[in-house]
Amino acid sequence: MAHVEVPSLLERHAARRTFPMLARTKVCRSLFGPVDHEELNREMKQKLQEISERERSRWNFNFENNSPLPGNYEWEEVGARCVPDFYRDSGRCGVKPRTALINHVKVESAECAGENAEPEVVRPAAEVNQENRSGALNGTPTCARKKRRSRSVQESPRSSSTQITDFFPKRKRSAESSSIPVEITPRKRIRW
Amino acid sequence: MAMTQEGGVQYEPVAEIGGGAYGTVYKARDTQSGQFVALKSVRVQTDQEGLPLSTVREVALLKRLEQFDHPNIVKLMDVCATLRTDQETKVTLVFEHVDQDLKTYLEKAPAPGLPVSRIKDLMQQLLCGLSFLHSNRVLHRDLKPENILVTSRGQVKLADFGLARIYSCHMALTPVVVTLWYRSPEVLLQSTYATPVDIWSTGCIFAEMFRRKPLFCGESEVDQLTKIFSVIGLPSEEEWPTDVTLSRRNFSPQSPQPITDYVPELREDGADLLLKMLTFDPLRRISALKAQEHRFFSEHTGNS
Repeated sequence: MAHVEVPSLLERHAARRTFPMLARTKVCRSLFGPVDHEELNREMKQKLQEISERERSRWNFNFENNSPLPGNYEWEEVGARCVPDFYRDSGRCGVKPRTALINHVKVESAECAGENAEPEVVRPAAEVNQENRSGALNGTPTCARKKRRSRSVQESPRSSSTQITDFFPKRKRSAESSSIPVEITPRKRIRW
Repeated sequence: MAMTQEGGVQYEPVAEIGGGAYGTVYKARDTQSGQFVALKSVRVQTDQEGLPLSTVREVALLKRLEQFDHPNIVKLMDVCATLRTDQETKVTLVFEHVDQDLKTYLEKAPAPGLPVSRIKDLMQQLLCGLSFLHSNRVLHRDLKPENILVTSRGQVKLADFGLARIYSCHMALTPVVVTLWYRSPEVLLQSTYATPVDIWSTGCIFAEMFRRKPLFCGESEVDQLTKIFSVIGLPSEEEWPTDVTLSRRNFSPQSPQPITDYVPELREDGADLLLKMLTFDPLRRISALKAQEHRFFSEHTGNS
């Protein structure tokens, strides 16, 4: 309620997580009495709308349908070729990424099939790369080097079966991997 | 969502129309400050848990970096998320708009190329931005002339870092093959890596500032490595990383060639800096901070 200043993404994320979690657990402690889902939903929608409204008026731009509105900012739609590559939309993430990614991997593997005995290796490296940003957060290259190695060792068994030991380091390492098991599986599939 | 009712019913959603190869970009001028901004949208797949936490975390990181207001980092003015469907959220990033990138800047440079003084200035700014990122424990990982912006006043601004998690699906989908030309040997060998990867890229870009064409133009990972070794020499067995599948034996023995064969415009101090950046062993490669202190930058333009 009072978290108006919380970045919209975080807020949205937190709000959307409430329901599936309740639905999944059979035993819930009712600390604050019964939850009025209807009300909660309404309030959340209202909050999201407030955030969108604020963003919209700040930029006088309707982000939902990509349309400029009158205001301080004079908007113009320019061809992507008229601006540096960097500004081009990365807009295709939502379009069947799984199949598309698999295709991509195939292309990539084929590309280096001649030279590399294990073309499959291409992908895991990319995956290591993806995560290395946070891995590298821990200082010197030396320590990153060691870290990475131990991490990739842990990662391979995790993708096939869950071991009890996975939970402890996983939880310690990042909230992402421990709290959203749902996310891990598709991600794994995507990257490979 | 409810919002659509008021604002833009008369508009077609542009993303759907412009979903092709080129598309369009929204750009605006703030009539009060005269400042330009541009939008970049990323569509992120969501499940019942909402946006992937990695995306949320990445955005939080970008926002935190933004607070430093570093002169050599492109300004991220806002991040707006809109739910498109239950499976998809559109994240729109509002960036300051800069007219050109280093690629265009170098292409436009008149015939003899950039004066050394200009290269020094560009490099100093680039390294300054990079030191900032590295000291904040951020890797760029994909540094190349296309994502180094150069303002009309010659100010360098690094762009496109820290977005890897958000874009990851996009990058894999791009029909254009991601360039290998600025990739460090440890990345090409799929070894572990850290901040030195950006220094390697910076070295390649440094050479390109003189040459006005890329230094190593490989067509595959192995080809890229071969091209690199033909200049810096094949590293020794001791230097070869142990955690890689690609054996050193796949490459023919080569001794290092004089770097000035490839970048004849380089004087001694510049060549020394370049070689320190293009060092095979990432642990021995110069850091951004140390590179900023290199004598190449301290000497007068006249004698270099």
